[in-house]
Amino acid sequence: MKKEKTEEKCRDCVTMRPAADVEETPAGVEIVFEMPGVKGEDVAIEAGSGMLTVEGKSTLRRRGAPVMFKRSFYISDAVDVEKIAAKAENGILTLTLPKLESAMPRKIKVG
Amino acid sequence: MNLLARRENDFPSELERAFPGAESLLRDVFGFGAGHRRRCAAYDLTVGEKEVTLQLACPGHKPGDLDVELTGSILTVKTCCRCETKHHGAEHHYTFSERPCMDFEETFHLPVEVTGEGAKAFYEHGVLEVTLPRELKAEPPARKIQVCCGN
Repeated sequence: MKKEKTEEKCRDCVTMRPAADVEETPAGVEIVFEMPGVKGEDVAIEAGSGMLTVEGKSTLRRRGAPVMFKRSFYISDAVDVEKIAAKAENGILTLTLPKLESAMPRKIKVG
Repeated sequence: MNLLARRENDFPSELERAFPGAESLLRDVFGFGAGHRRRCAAYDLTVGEKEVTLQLACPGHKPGDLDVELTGSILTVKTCCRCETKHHGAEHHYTFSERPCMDFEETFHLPVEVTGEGAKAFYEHGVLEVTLPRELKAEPPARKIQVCCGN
């Protein structure tokens, strides 16, 4: 389980769902979120029990109220949650979810 | 094997809480519902006593990609070179893609008169913030009007 809680829950925030791109690679999955106004240290990622949740408090305001981005995905048991990596740059949050070694494709020699 | 699946309803509405599945039924049968209503904050415009501030969400850009122009009380923001963060080619397979990959041009008709002198634009963490001082015209002096008597 990976848990990085850096931000307290925001009562007055407007919660929004960030747009995302999901790309499957041979090594796992890459998710790219649009989270404008969210700094790297304000992102909280929680993975476990088949669920991945990402949230981040933004510097953006909507009708005067602060904005919180939040989104969840169902994840397979084949994802290695201990090795999830995250990078935030220019309002784009990129998560890399690698596959477990046991779930990687193996070549079988034909005798 | 799918490693990831979308969770459709992160923010259940009152209707969804009372009747689970109602939102998806409305969306599937009638083509409407609240499934994607909170997608992205486009902008927030604040008119203060001395200045006007625009916050515009444009993630994935660099400050050099943004072009901000003020003509009278019309503010235009243009972007380019957006697709750098998106991969192309046969070796890349998107399970789904929601992020738009295009340049955009937004025009804002400001509700008050502003001046370009002292205007500032700042881009950080995917948010462009433009601050424009309001044009404060000196109010003409009050003029006394004598009230005449009818008799």
